[in-house]
Amino acid sequence: MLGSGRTVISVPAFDLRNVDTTGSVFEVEELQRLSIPEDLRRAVSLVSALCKKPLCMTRPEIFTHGAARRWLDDQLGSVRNHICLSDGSAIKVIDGLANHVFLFRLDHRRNSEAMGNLLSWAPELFAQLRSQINTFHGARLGDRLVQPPSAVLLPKARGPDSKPEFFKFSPSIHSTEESATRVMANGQVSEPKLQEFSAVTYIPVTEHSANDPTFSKLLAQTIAATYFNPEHCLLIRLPRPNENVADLFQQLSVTLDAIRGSGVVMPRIPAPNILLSRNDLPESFFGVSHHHIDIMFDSSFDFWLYTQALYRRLHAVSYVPATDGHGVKAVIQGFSSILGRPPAARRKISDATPQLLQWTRRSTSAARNK
Amino acid sequence: MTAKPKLTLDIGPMLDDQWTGIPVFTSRLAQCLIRHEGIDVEFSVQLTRIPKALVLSAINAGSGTMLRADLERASLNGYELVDRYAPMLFATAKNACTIGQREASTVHDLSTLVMPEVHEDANVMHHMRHFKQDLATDEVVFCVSESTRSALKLHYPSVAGKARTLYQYVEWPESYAAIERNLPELKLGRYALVVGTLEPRKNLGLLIRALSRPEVRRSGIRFIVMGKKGWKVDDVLAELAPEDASRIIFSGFVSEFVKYRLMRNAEFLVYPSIYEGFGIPALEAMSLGKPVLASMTSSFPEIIGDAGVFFDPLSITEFAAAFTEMAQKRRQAELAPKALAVARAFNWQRMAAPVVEWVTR
Repeated sequence: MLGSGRTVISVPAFDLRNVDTTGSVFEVEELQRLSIPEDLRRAVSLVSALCKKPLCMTRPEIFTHGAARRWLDDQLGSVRNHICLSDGSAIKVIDGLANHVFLFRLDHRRNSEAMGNLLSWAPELFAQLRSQINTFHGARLGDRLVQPPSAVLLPKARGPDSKPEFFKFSPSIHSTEESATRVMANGQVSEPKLQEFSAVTYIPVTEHSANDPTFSKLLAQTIAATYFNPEHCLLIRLPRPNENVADLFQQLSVTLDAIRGSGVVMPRIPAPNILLSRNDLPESFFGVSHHHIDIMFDSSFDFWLYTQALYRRLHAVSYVPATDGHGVKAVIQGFSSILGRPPAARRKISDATPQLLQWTRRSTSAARNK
Repeated sequence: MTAKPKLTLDIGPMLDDQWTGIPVFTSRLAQCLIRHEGIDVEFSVQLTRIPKALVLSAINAGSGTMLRADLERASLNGYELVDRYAPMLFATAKNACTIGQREASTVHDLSTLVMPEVHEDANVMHHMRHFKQDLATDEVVFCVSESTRSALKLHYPSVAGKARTLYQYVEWPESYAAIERNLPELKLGRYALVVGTLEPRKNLGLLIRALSRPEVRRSGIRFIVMGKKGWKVDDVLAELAPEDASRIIFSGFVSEFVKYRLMRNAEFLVYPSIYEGFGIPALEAMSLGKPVLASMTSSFPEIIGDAGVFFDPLSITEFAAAFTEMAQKRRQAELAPKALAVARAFNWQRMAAPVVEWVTR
């Protein structure tokens, strides 16, 4: 993906608003020492592994011309590649370098909407990118679809493990607020023993996907079906609607609103086999040998949190493509390369949306005999 | 005698009460086009022709308050539509106007596209929602600096062929110098001036943090920050330590004359902004022989040239070093004639030329 020469990684200025750097251009090690958001830290680590002695910078957009640009060139020296880490609000390019974008944090609705606007306001900018890392977006430029090649990049090693916090799914027919209050009143429950279930499905819900009617309907249908299959465990990761504070009530409200808004009929009683998790489930949680774990997510989930080894162990990966349907071919290529096989199924969700893509592992005899 | 080519200039930004960047640019554009004898300029607001006398009156007042009141009082009865067959120039975005046979708009900077986090969401939407269409339907796109033109070409390569640079200029009313001479001497001690609406792009945080640097403290120079309070600055202002509060004065928005007087008596201008399309306060200061301590970004090196000392706007260490250099009286004296020379190169003829060239071609 990256040719010769060093690489500079630009990071969102918003993430550095409360820290002092030594200047506009600095070493990656300096950034890693600062107090920065965890997802940014992980994204920087991921792309840094691609590059030899990368540099970091913020605000490349202010050095576009004349002496300011020459000053930047002096700072960058032999840099030939630029990876823009973007939260979707802006994509930065540096003229004359090979520009790549790594869009992350699109799970926030605000960011994914900003990115949608950006692609519509400045599609020519998107057309200049050499690649997009871990995304599959396209933009309309007149009659043409602009879609920089997607490169999939996953961590080699498992990320740091955090202890998940689980809550029991307890719906209320009266209101979302009552549901959320009830879930919170019941308190945290102990970690489920996955080996006691014949199958486990993990659905990381994002603020973006919770506002997508297609995804919400799939989520609600999966919940309803799980009620009637006590052998099945459904784990739902709650979205993080607020960038700074993980407010449980808010997390619950966004999810429960999505389920309620889907219109899918739902039992009124709590479900012991449906659990809500406040945070991303750590990779270690899924164990090594459990035979039947599925995951379902959409384009806004930062799937690059997990290693290829985990994805290859999963029984099935289901992907809900973006509603514009631009990136389906790239999604298929990307996930097929992660999973080492083509999708087994392309299921129609509705007339108005693209097909659900599913990569299913061939059943093992152990699974069949269960 | 053949009729002069006509141009309609939209002066919408001049309706603002307090004129800062774009309204000031608009008024200068109006003035230089009136002065130019090659074209016949008319004025408009929202496709409605505005009498020249009202525009001149607003220019004299340096505010759009009375112009706006006049227009509201008249309810625009008796006013005419603009001539859609004459070229139409917008001093800023034209907001999806596609009425004119030949249209041109002006791009001041691309900050709403490249750094939306420093703006309010509504402002981003206002500037960006028609931008692509405006560029596509413009015959010419004027940019207020080469820096802005470069940024535009980078983000919208299809516009490169029709992007032109339109430099503005500074002209103080002749009476200011005489009035100033007759006033008692300002007794503010050593100070440097900072001009601009208080908002994140102005990078005041750097200045506030630099106040605690020993070299800045030792200089005895105070900072006067002149400009109205904008948006998203409360966090930055909260960083000001009580022991430094006496070394930075926030004057708020001031009249043109007060600005002139404070500039004339300052040792130099400090311009720590991270990004500007042009940076008119720099030119204003240079026109009074004041050098500029400015960020090494965007349009600053282009506009200030060798009349300034530059620093990385994200490095307090670099700022402190550049400040120490600029605080020396000998250095200021070296730069003062250069400042005047640079400012002279930006004049009304230069501003009018690309517009007239477009209208008459």
